[in-house]
Amino acid sequence: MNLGHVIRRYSLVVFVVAVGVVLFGVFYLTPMVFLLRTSFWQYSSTSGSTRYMIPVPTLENYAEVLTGAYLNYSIMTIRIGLVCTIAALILSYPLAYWFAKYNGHAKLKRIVLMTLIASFLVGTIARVFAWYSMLTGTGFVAAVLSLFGVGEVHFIGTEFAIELCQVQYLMSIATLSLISPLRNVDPRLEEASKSLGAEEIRTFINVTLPLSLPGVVAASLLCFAVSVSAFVTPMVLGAGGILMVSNLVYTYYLDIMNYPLGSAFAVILLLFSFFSMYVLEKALLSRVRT
Amino acid sequence: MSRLASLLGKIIVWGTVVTTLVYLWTPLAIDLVMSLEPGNVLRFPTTGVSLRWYEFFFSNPAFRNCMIVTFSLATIAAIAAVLLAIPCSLAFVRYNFPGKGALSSLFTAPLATPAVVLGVSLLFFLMITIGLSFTSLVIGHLLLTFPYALRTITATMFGFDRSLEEASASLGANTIQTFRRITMPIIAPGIVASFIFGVAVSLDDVGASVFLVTPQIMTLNVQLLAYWRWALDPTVGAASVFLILIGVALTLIADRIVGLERFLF
Repeated sequence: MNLGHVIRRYSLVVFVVAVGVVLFGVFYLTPMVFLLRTSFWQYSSTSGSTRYMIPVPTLENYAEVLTGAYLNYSIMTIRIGLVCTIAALILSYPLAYWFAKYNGHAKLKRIVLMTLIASFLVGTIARVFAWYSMLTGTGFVAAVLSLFGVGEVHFIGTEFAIELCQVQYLMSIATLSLISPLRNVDPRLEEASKSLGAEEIRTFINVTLPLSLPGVVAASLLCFAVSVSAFVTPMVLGAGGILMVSNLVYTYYLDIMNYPLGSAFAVILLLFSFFSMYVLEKALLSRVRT
Repeated sequence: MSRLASLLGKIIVWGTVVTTLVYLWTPLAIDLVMSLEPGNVLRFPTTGVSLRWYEFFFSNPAFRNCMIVTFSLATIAAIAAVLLAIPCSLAFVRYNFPGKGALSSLFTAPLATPAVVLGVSLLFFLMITIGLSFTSLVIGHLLLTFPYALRTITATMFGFDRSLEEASASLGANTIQTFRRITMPIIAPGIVASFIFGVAVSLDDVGASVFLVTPQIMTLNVQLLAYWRWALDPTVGAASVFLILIGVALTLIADRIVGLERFLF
């Protein structure tokens, strides 16, 4: 190893550590520690105290978040997350299967891939407002329903509206992440199963599906983490009727200025997301792989 | 029985293909139609065809200022993410050093952090330190874009033939020449893909930005959301069409330059 090599290696490692310390240490970890600390502080409604809080340790914020009406918001958030994840997987798996396992249809596949990526890159605001115009009382869906004699149906302000919009987005994520695991299922194993007389459907159930399960688990957990963190979708399509945890973080911080309670909600939301991405993923993947 | 099952399988598969196309395009198409409404209320069918709300959206100085903020923010955040990610992924792919595992988990942690949590914690921290400015938005968005850039560029480097660099060095090229002539062209598609992704992620964000904006420095998304809360006219429809066109343009550019297969996770 020559000197140039050593210098290059040394400076690259120093650079990585510097990014870690400056960008992530100062602007990611420190704020998270502050947030955690605030979530254990007392709220004070008198403006005389510094920023409406008293630095006295308390568990009352978590007691509030985890009981009564507030607990329902967490449950609602998890329920919407689960419904969206399951719906997205049901739609995405056959699509990814077609993409990975069917031969030909090159042109159609290109159109579908483009649709999925465009729909992903279009962005939340555009997607949410597009659904808002679809579902509002004077919108497209209401117009179509009235052709069939169905009177006023309110979609805005329901969980269903949020789920419709979320699943559209999650479908892109789920399909794009399922294609590779399905492609990686060795076609020779499927051929072997078929040549031994198994029908296509049996081959799918006994060979392809089990071998693609790790991919399914990873995709579901990603979808779940994304959908419990939703913010704009429940804000616009929930229209105040449906609040998810991120909306409560916003309300308690920027409207009510109860920072301790807002922080407790933020910590809970972070736990939902981290739990599914790290803990569940490890546990479930070790299960399906054995 | 077997015929029935295989027929059922075909129906499910082709049904999903058709459903996907309809499900993903219909809202965007309807939004386009409804944004042409001349009246004050979003409605279908529209009462006529007019570009009134587009005119309002593009001529409104508040929206125009937000667009400037948003586009410069997206460009800066995406470029900064790529510039930081190139040396970091070189170090991660090629060398072992103490704390490597911990650092690489830390660098991808924002992917599992809800944007709202990222924004709120940063707001809280900045309030008691340097205060809010355009820089705080850049920092927030950099935390969102950097993990994607790192992941994409690292993936490109794994398939890299190191002997090409060694050949270049043995023929007398110095470190910088080798990087420019050999390393750079090979990882270029990854860099372009990360840049496009970074722009898209930054343009998409609301959760973090909503805490980091000030009345003077607003992003377009936050402004649109605030506008929607007090006026339900078709402006948001026109704005969505604009954002949809940007998304479609990014897709076409990505397809042209690096190929869409690179966007499979």
